[in-house]
Amino acid sequence: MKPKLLLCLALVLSGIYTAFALAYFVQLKPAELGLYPNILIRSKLDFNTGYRNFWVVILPQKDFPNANSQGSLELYDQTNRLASCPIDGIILSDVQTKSWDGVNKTEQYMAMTNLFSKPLSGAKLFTFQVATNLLAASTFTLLDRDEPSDTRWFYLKDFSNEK
Amino acid sequence: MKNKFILCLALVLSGMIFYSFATLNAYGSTVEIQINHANLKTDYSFLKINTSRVLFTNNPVLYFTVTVIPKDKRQQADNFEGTLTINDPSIKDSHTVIGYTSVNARKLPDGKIMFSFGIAVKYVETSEFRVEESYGKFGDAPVDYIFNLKEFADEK
Repeated sequence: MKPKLLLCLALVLSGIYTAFALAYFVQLKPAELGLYPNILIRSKLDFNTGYRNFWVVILPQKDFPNANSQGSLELYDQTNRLASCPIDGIILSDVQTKSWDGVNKTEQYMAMTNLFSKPLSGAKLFTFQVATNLLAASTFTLLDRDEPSDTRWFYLKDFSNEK
Repeated sequence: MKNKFILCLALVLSGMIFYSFATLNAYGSTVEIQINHANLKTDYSFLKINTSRVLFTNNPVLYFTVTVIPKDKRQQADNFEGTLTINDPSIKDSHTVIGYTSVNARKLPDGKIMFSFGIAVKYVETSEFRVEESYGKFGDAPVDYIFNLKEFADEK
């Protein structure tokens, strides 16, 4: 009787664990991006260099505050991890301040507002470039520093159709 | 009358030249400093670079930790930007970059600012990391501290 009870308990616990994992580690796919209106993703191929530029923008939202959001890029070839680094995001601002940092934010704000065709003041931007031969298995992850369980991630290849 | 006109013209021209230089300084000139073992200890001791090696199957990855001890306590993580450029030495082309990204700066409770990232050992030879210190108003041009990863690959 006792082994059966333990087996049931293990099954229930593993089910709960799987449910949590599925609920909080969400893979973003282009077709389902409409479910996450605060996340904007674009990429474009740089024909001169052969690598792809990525822009990931997090719009401020109550349940996913962008000030604490953090990005992480994991580069893989088919079998190996090649690089891993947390990415610095910048908060875009349409207000120019008299500092280097301020100029950068304003310039990025204007460029991103043109790219996404919407005002993005207060949004957080992550940008990076990756060689096209590494897109298949490489990933980008968005997580909240205060709520590590709120994690969104995607394969770079899934958002690499744009020329 | 002609002398006054020439004087005015000279004043206007000198003003224009001054303005263009000032703008160039404010927007264009970043000071770049190449960091190596020797000058890290003598001139740039506010930078600390450490590595640790992790073995994933047969693919060793080297983790770098770059710590900046701010010279001014008012400096924030925002005043430092890290950039990692990963080059693949096996690419026989003019474009060897396989990854280029900013690296998140974290402010530690003791006021230090820390960058950390991992990179496969086979790319260490040709890759570089850059810390840009931009602090202050226009006119204080940013300073970039650059080092080749291989230079500090054995730093414990």
